[in-house]
Amino acid sequence: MRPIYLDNAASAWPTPQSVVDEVVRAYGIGGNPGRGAHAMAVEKSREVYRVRRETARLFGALHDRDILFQPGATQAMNLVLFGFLRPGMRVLVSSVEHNSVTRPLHRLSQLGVEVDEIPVDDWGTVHVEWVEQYLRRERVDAIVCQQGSNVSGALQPVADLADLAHEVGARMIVDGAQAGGHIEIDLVALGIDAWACSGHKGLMGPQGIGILYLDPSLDVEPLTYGGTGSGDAMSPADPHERPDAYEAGTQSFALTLGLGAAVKLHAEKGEELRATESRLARRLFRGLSDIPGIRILGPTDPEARLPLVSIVCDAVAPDRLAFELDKRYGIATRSGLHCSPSAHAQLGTLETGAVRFGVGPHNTEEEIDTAIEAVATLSREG
Amino acid sequence: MVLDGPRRVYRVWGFSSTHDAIAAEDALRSEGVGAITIPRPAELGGAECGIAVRVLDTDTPRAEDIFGRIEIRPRGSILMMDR
Repeated sequence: MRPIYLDNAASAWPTPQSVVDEVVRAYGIGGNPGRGAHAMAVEKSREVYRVRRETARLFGALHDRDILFQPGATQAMNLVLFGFLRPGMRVLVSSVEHNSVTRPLHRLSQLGVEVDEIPVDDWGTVHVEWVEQYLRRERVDAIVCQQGSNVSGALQPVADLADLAHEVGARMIVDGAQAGGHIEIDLVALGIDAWACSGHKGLMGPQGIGILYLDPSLDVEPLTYGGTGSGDAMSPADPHERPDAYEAGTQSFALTLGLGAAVKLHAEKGEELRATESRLARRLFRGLSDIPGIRILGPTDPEARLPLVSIVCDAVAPDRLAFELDKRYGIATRSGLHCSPSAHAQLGTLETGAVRFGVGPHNTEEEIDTAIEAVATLSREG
Repeated sequence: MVLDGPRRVYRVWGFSSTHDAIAAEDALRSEGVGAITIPRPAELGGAECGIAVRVLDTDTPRAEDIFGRIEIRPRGSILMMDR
């Protein structure tokens, strides 16, 4: 029996066959992209260029060289935060961020960066007017905010925040790890200056690769230095040109091709995939809402949510609930704090954590109904 | 056998990144300009590594127009004869 996989918010599964096929195809081509001019090396360079261009097109970047491939969203956020923020700068960050943001900022605060938090409402959503009030009192150099929460599912008003940031000459840095693939994204229209995204979540690509977008006007110091295969090899300094400046060392060609297949899938069928997972997530939300003793975290408006549902159950602790769902029903979920203690603190679940159901387009209505029934049974049994 | 015919003249451009070289080649080819990538000649950067893009010199005006439109700035060019 196939497991009922509802841990798509951690990592999508099953991986689309086109992604697997591209990863395998990569190993049939020799050479190293950007290193050497023989036919296979150049072919690889062309493939990387194609994936970069298609990624830029999917997310509305004006120039493909502003799309940078990184080992993941965490690495991408580290790059932009450590590369942009300097001692004496001030950053305003939402109070519901993932550790991939809070931990780099904690370190930066030790190095002299001022970090202030934006409060959220009871559903984990940032309110633009609160940020507006803050900006009347304080000067900031950047606003940092998630695009959507990996705990509450709340979508944040990043376009409005970007407007506010730009009015005061600040930059808008967005953690899109959980949002990419799940919602339509036009980076330029949103006014985002820096955006990080996972390859293996909503996009359904391979683990180990993510995307960083940097606005052409944003000056960010690289995090890694080394060989790039181009530029002045005799120079002790790395090249300034994108993408090379941020992709030192040999990158994973296989993961790049896998990501490319995922991007292509979303370019061709994104609307259909989003509609399917959204419909299933609403079904799950409604079904779980009807169970006595279940509290759902995050907004009640389905339009304001990503396709994930986190719950706490009065009768069963989250760790036990996730364990029983797995062992008795073969349902994969994730319990705990989801690497987001800040979000759980704001939502009142820091002590217990929650159980998160991450819906994907490969789920079925039957699977969703089985999950609802399983939670109802376990809740009733206590 | 040695062919005794006119030798062709090529224009070869260097770029600051592999990305720009591939982007240039892609744009040239998509507009029907016969372009190939070659190892970057020493004259275009001493000991630099990387690739360069070569077209027939008669296509140089078209190529430069295309570079301007796609906002790619080569880092220099040389003329090269075939052998």
